[in-house]
Amino acid sequence: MTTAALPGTHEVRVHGDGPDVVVLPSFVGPYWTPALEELTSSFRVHLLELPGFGDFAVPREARRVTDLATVLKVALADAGLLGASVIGHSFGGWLAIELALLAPPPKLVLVDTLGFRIKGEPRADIFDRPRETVLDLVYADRSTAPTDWEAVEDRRNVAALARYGWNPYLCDLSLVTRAAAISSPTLVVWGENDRVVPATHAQLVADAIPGAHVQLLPKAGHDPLSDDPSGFAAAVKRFLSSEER
Amino acid sequence: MKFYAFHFMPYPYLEEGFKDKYQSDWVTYPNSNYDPVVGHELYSTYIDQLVYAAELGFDGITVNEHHQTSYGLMPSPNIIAAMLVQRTMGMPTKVGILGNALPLRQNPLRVAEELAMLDVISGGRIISGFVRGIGAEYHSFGVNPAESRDRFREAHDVIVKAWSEPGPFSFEGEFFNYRYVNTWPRPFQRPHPEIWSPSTGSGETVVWAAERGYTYVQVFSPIKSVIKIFDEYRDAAAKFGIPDPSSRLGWAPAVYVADSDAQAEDEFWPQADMYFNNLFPNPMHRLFPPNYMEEKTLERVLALRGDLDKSTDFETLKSNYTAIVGSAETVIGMLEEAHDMLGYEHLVMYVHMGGLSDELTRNNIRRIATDIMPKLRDHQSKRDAAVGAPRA
Repeated sequence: MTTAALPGTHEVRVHGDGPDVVVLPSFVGPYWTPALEELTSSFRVHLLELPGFGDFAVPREARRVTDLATVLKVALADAGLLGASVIGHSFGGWLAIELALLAPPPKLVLVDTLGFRIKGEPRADIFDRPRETVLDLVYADRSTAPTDWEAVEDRRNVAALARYGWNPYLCDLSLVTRAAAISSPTLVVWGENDRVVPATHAQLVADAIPGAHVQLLPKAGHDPLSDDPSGFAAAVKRFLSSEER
Repeated sequence: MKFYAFHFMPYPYLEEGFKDKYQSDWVTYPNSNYDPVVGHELYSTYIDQLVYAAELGFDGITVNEHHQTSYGLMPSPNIIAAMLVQRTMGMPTKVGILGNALPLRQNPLRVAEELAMLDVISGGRIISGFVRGIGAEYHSFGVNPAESRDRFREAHDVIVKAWSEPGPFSFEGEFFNYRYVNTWPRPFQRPHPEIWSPSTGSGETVVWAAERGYTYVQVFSPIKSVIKIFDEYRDAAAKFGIPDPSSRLGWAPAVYVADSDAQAEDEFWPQADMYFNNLFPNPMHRLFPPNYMEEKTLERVLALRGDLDKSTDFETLKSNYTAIVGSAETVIGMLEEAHDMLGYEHLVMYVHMGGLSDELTRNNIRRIATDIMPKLRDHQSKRDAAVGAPRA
């Protein structure tokens, strides 16, 4: 596939002082949440649009998440952000894992990441349901969710997710094996009430990545950044600031 | 004009209140609702009905492919076609598969082989329709709708090449790669079986079919939309230098004939109601799963087909020519008007709907064959006098 650099880094918002941190958002879309605001006191936070989503066009032949990671790696290199730590949430987590296999960041935070499955464990079907009910699955409490729904109500967001996660459903069966090659210190954060990917997956992901730790957030669903902003920010700050692996 | 009888082969015994319990009778509607003993009777009744149409002089009998639904019980249309071929040996009747859902198949060479077998066994009577399958079937079959159109086109290329070019040769594609394509048997028709493109009106499909001179068949759409789509086909055909476009157009309404208009409505409407308002409807996310259509195409199809969420009533079906129902006189009149407005060669008629009884279905088939077809066969269209002109 072509990996020609695409113009711009598709940053939705950059804010804060300190070491660079790249945020790869969930399929719901890039939202600047209070959780990210809390991180800006210690980090320069770069919230990106996901390749293949919104206006971040990718070649038609980019059919796998690893293809998206290749596109993203080139874009990050152009922007001088390849040395930044990465927070990947949901689909952004899956992408962050593929990116870490191409270009290991100093630290990697995976939040309710897609990409894995526990065989036989049921997961809700995001695609075989009315689009307007998808967000009921994502948020533990819809009232804490962002109020600007244009991106997800616009069916293109779910469509972009479906392009890469239709079959096998929201996962890549080889990822659990390939993740063993991730050399970045990794924190696996999971909302205990996740109804998209149940929290039972957290340990599976941590076991697949050498030395990874798990932090469960009891109040959160699939989007801890909105469901439990301070719990999320505290855990991430602690991990990103610490010297230990 | 040529006449074809079409059958959905539905399982019309729906679970009481199924609409409140399930999203539709597709994808997840439990198959415990299917009784194989009843199904055994239905298959044989339905196949007999199509053979009856062949015996009465229909130019073709036609079937299609659907999956995991009570709407239509021909997940493998080629199996039904094989039986129809054998039952119509010695007759001139075409057997049409409208069509094989190419993106849902793992290996297009298998499709090429099966259809070539049917074409040879039937002595060249196969019409091979190619379709993508409806959106719900992408939920059922696990095929990524984002790859649907590309897989369709590539599978088509493999099949047509396998049929028409001498083997062995190699094929290198994005989805399908073969070191040796060398299909045995070769099809009976040269260079390949007649190819049809049945569609709901996607602009890309219209152009794709016109470019190749394939017969384009418009299914269930208000007649105003069909007029527009047929003109698009003609424009595209002119651009690609394809002659006689009207002779490559087909239209597919439901047709039901009885002694009087009132009797026809009484007999037909409850079954059409079951079809249009129970068997057929799907929510948006099943009709159009993500990436099944480009955003632009989806908007067009929605506009052409009207409000899909609304339930259908008899007056609407009649006034937009989706159903041609009444006495022989009424039906002839409406079909002549439609032919004048549209200009087409192939009339594909849904001769059975919902739970229409065997007796009424056979009556309908007989009346179409004896009262309608002889009157219409040489009807010259005001839209294009080339279709319907008495043959030299």
